[in-house]
Formats: sequence, structure tokens, C-alpha cells
Amino acid sequence: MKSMDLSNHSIQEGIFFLFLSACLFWYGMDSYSNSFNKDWSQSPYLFPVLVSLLMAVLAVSLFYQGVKQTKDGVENESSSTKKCTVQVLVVLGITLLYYVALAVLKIPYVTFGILAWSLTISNFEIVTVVFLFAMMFYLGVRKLPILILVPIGTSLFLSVTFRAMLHVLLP
Amino acid sequence: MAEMLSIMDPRFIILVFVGSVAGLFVGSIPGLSVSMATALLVSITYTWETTDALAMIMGVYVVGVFSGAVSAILINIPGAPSSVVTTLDGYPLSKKGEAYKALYYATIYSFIGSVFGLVCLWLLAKPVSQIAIKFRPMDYFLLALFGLATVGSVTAKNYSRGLISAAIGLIISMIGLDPLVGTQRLTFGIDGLKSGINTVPALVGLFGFAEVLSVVYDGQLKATVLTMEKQKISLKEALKHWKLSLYTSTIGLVIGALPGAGGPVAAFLSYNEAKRIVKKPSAPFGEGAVEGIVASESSNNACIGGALIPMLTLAVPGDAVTAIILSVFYVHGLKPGPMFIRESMSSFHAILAGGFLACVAMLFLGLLVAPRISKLISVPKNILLPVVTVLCVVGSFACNNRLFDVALMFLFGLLGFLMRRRGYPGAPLVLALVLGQTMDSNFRRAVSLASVADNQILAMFGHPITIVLLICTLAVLLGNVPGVKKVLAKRSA
Repeated sequence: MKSMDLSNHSIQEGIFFLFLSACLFWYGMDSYSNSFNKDWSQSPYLFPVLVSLLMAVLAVSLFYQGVKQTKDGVENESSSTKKCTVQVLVVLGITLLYYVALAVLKIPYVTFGILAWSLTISNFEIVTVVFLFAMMFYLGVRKLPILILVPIGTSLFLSVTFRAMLHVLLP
Repeated sequence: MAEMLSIMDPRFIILVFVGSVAGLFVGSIPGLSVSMATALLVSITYTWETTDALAMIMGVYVVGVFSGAVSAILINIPGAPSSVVTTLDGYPLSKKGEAYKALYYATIYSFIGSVFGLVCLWLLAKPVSQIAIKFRPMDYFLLALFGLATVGSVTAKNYSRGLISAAIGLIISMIGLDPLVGTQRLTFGIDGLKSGINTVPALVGLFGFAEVLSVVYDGQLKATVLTMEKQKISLKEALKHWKLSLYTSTIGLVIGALPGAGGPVAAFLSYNEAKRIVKKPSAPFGEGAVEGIVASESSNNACIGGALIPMLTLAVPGDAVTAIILSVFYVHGLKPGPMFIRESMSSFHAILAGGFLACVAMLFLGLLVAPRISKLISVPKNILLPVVTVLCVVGSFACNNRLFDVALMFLFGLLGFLMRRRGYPGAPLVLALVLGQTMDSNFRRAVSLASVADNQILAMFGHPITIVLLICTLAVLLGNVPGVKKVLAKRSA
């Protein structure tokens, strides 16, 4: 009979949260000992210490449940539906590139004056069109009109609505 | 009444209607949620007048909760968690070729439930405020703790996981300046964290981007839609379930007022009650009984008024959407709590007026527009998800105009996704994130006040309201300990 199986999710999570609570407890106590105010009732570190203790209790409870599950031979919960971890990682990668492009690229502003309002095309519009095209293509969209119209339409709609009409700044 | 009517100028009505239309689409498209839309709206309405912001948000909230039923009935995918129960009878009815009838009943009884909840909010908010004035710092702390304990128990299969989610929210809420003395906590020298974690990117990430990742992970990017044929249904025939509707609306109101429980719990309880009470349903429950739709839709919509009562009078939100609405109040410099109705009467009336107008808009949209949007709600997710991601970026950037918040949104999205995968609910984290600073400051105030008293324990816990809240909190906490649960289950058996 197995007493403890480290592949059990509850055991893994119990250990992780126990470590997290120990870090928070250490942070609270260390900051308290270095602070000028030694009155616990006024200390900003009282709450972190209390939360760390609460988390420790919950982590131990989770760990105990995991040990009990392995003793009873209960397997980790798994769903029968197809799970796409690689797809999630690729989506995260594309999104990260989108963020980096928004943060790093410096495309000159081009403003179109159309009657009463003007439309400014900048980083956001261009990077968003590229991002939407790439993401939709990756997720399986193959119809060319959709791949062209949806990115351009969304980008222009957001630009007009947020920048021109609602005066909300865009990245 | 006169104050409410005075708020309803054309601009206000248009904003409620625009919000309602947005709510209809957001609520009915699976993958978009009311919480996500409200969180995005917080960033858009940042610079607006409070009344305008509330008009739009109430439109999205009221109609968004209802419209979860549209996709539940037409494509067997609930647009919102509170509409899960509606699928049980709504979709079988659609398969029989009676989708129009199912939508008709869902609209009528969502309207009744919403109006019932809002009338109760109108009548009960003031008396509850009178009680709330007597609250002391320890009471506020315990009330928030009670909320976290309850939400942990009703949103997670495993109670420890629910509470751990709340504890993570509390840790995140501590990042930044501490609310009493202004000391920096948990910032680790990162400039962007010095002002704390803004709730908007956190909420957009947890509800928006996490949903995108979850849908991609599940690989369910397509949905099928049933055809719709218009039927003649008499209003008299439809309204004959009014008694069941009022009963389940009352359940929804009470459940909605409990912090964290919300629409899904109310709908499940009401559905069970309907099964118990109705001896001769129109069809067996689960095979297209309109009574199931009546119970589910009346109760989850009555939750709206119920959830707003503790949010307005005690600053304790009843569900994730009201937690986001609470952040709208803070953004606009309003302070919900016992004095809210006295000090911000116009905002209270704006909420009620917006809610009632949204109910009217719901009736109009539900009966005329919803039956026609079956094609639109089946937008393939491989087109929808990239657009949602861009909206998440725009929403999180707009609140402070800094890309750091976009990065935070992605991090929270990833956190929300990982939490969902391992069975950690997001609602306790959100509630703790919003309530964390209140809990921290009130607990320290209570300890500080008690430290100068002769009997410190009595000073902290001797107040009647404190005793009641302490007993309630302990009851919820102990009632969820596995050993105690077993004993209680044995006794009830």
C-alpha cells in the first residue's frame, strides 16, 4: 500500500502552498523585525502573517487529503475530452509577441482627417491586425475574406470607438 | 419614485439600452461573460459621469444575466454559469422544435425575477443600512470573512481549494501601500506594484483571458445551432406559473444576498424546489418542462437585486459582477456602506432606474431580438477568441494607460487558467481581492481599539452583531470540515 504519491495533485499543491505560506510568514516576520513600529496592532505586517498562517493550515489540509486519496487509491481527476496544452502554449506565445510588439515597436502615427473626427493609425492598429490574423490562422480559420476583414474591421472599430469617440487611450 | 423618474432623461435611457444590447450579445455568446464585459466597461467608463457609467453597467448586468439562457436554449451551451440549469429543460424543448416557446418563457420569467429583486432592493436597502450603521470594525472584518468562507464553500468541490483561492486573493490585495500607515508591502522594488494591483486588469485577466485559454485548452471551438420556428403563445397561458416564479425569485433574492453564492446556486436550489413542488409538470423535468425554465430564470435574475443589497449597504459584494461594480464605485469616488443611501442618493436611484429600464429593455430584446440572433451567437470561437484577447488588452490598458497593467492582465489570465484546471474557483479570489484592504484595515482598527480596553476579548467580540457574525462564520467554517460534514450527513439521513 502506497503511503504517499507525489504525482497526486493535492499533495503537490499542498507542498507548494505550504512553501508559499512559509515565504509569506518569513517576509512578514522579517519586515516586522526591521520596521520602526513594534506594535503588532498597528503593524502593516500583522495581516500578511495571519494570512500566511491561514494558508499553512489549508495547505496541510490539502496535503492530508492527498495522502488519504493515495491510500484509498483515488486517481487524479481527468476529463475524457481532448486537452490541447501545446495549443495553449502557442496562444500564449503569440499573445506575448503581441505584448512585446505593443511595448517595443515605434511605428509613426498617421492621422486621417475625415469630416468631423480624425482617425489615428499607430502601433496598436497595425500590430492588432497582424496579431488577429496570426491567431485566427493558428486556430484554424482558413477563409481569406474572414482572415482579412475581421482583423481590419476589429482594429478600425476599436480605434474609432475608443480613440475617436470615447477618448480612451490605446496602447 | 420622483427622483428615479428625474434621472431617466433621454441620455440615461439610451445608455441603459446600449448596455442592454451589449448585455444581450455578451451574455448569449458562450466564451464572453457578464463579469468580463462589466470589467471591460469599468475601464471604458473611467472618465464618465457616475450616473452614465451606472446606466450602462446596469443594462449589461440585468440583460447579460438573462441572455445566458439564449445560448443555453439554442445551442445547449449556457452563456453564463447561472444559466446552466436552463439547459436542462430549455435545450430538450428546442430539440422538440419549441425553441421559441422556451425563449418566451425564459424572457417573461427573467423579467419577473429581475423586477422582484429590484423592488426588494428598493424596499430593503434602507432598513439594512440602519442595521449596518451599528457595525463596528470587527463586524466588518467578520462579515467579509463570512463572505469568503461562504463563497469558498459554494463555488468549489473541495473547500480547502475554495479557501486557498480566497487566501491568494488576500495576498494579492496586500501588494502596494498598506491602507493605514502607507508602508509598502510585497512590492519587491517593482515600481509598477507600488500603487497596488488595480482590480481591472486582475478581473479582465481572470475572467477574460483565462476563458480564452480554457476554451483553447478544451479544444471546443465549434457549436451547432437549432432552427427556430415562431409559435403563438398566449401571455395568460405563460403567466400561470407566477406562484412558482415568486417562490423561486424569493430563493434567488436570499441566495443572491449571501456573499459569493450567486446565480448558479440559486438556480440549482430553485430547480430542485420546482421538482419537489410541481407534481404535474408540462413535461418530465429534464425533458422540456417549462416549470424548470421558470424556476431557473426567475431565481437567477432575482439574484441581481439580492446581490446589490449587501454591496450597497455593507460594501460586501454578493457575486463577481457586483464585486466589479463595487470597483466602479471606488473609481468614481463613491463609498458604498451604511451611509451610502443617505450620502449618494442619486447613485442609488441611478442603479434602481437603470435596473428597471434594463428590465423593460430585456423584455423587448428577449421577445423580439433574441429569437433572431441564433446565427450570430454561433460565431466560431476561433474568430471570437482572438478578438476577445484584443478587448482584454484594450480594457486593461485603458484603466491607467500603462502597459504594465496589460502584463498583469496576462499574468492573471494565466493564473486563472491554471486555477480552473486544478479546480480552484475564481470567485473567492476576486471577492478577496476587492475585500482584502477592508479586512486588513478593519481588523487592525478592531485590535487597536481593543488593546486599550480592560477586557480585550470582550471589547473585540462582545457586541451582539459581532457574536452573531462570529457564530455564522464559525458555523460555515466548521460545517465544511470533512469530519463534521460526515456527522451532519449521517444525522440528516
